[in-house]
Amino acid sequence: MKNNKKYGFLFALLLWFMGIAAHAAPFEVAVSPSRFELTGNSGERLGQSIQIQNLGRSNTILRLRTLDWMYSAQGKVDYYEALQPGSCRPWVTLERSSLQLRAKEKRTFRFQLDIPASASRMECRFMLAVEALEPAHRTQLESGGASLDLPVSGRIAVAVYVSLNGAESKLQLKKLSMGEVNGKRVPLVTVSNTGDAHGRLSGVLDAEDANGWRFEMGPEGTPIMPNQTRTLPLLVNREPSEAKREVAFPLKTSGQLDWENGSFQLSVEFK
Amino acid sequence: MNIFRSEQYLGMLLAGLISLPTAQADQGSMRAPGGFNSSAPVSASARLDFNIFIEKYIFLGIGSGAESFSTTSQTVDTLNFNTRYDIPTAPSNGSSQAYSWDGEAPVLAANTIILPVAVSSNAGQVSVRASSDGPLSSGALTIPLSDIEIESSDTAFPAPVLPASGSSNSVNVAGTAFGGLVTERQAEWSFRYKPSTPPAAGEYRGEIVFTASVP
Repeated sequence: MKNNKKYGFLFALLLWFMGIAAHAAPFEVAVSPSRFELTGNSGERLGQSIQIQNLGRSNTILRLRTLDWMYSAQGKVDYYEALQPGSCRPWVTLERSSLQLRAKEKRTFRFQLDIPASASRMECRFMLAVEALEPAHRTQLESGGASLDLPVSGRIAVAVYVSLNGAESKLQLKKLSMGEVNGKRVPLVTVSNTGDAHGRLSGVLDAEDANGWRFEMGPEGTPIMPNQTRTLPLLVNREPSEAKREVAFPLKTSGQLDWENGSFQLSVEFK
Repeated sequence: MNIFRSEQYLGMLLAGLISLPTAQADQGSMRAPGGFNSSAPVSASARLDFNIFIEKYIFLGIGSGAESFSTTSQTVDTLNFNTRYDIPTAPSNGSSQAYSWDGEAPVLAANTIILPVAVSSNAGQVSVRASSDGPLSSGALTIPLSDIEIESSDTAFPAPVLPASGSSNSVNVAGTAFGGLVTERQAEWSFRYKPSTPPAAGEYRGEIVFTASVP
């Protein structure tokens, strides 16, 4: 009798395990927040958490780890698994290295940063990678004795910036110009960062084009890394009904572009 | 084509990610002038302040998801490239038909595999990049990943160009609202195997990881 109970329990445990066991499934994962911009000081411990949600109908197992990364002046991201010079990833502790989520399940995942007492003024940057352990798709090719096995999987990389000991951006407006982005002529703003932390442009410009169309514009909000000069497009904030309307130049603009510790007043005509 | 059920999907995301709005109210009162028999109008007002915090989020979907992807895509768990060597000119139907071969080498042909993909974020420019630990390999034999071409159905959501091995350049997904801060895109990426040289027999293995981020 006792043995029956024992085997019954083991069987139930096996069924439960089989039920939650993840298998190859589409990667359908949402993460919030998608970016951290933190401040800290030497010797401090920073604790943070992210929400990870499996939006798929299947169970999934996710792997979590950190990556180093670089951002080019052209706006391209490069990830590095190997520790890069000056990396602060050794300061990071993750709650766990893998996470199993049932269909539709949302979980909180914690990580912390132990900043050494010897850390100098700098900006610590790393990516927290949330990636599928199993491939989302498996591509196979078979022909004449050749077989090709190509699993495809997904990953979300959450950028973490930590400004240490007062590190901050210092943006300078270098140039306003016209250029071509994705085959279209757009106004551009060139900004350089002479600070020791990344910066971003924001703000709104009032604009009126040659046909009298009035609208608002804002700069692309991608980061400008320390010692980097970037040329960013000024984008039109369109109403849905104006999705396909083209801007006619010359374009008169005025307003203010903001960054973390200042702003640029603009009144310029783009031709 | 069935469209991406973005409203339903976005609602589901926001329900999970938006913090509950907080409201603060104050009280106001006014005593009617002239006592109870006065006909003077009486009014009172109070302020109600709302504060809604919307957290940044990012979603990446790869594969034939039942909830959030177009059902016109092939709902498959395995993408099979069916390749064959095509003789340049097809012979006529029927048995014992004479066929004149022009001497051209047979061409390796492969079908196109469609992979549904989706990305969604409210935190600005979304970047997508492909990476691999190396080329497809079978022992000492290799097939460069660049032999796999990916074409996107949406130019605003381009697919990274695969390098021979390693990591591709990242591509940016065009925003859809709020001056590029909000992105809601779905596309179908068509995978084609176009070998630069006919592959040697063998079992080749490799893996591609697509990474999305909002740096």
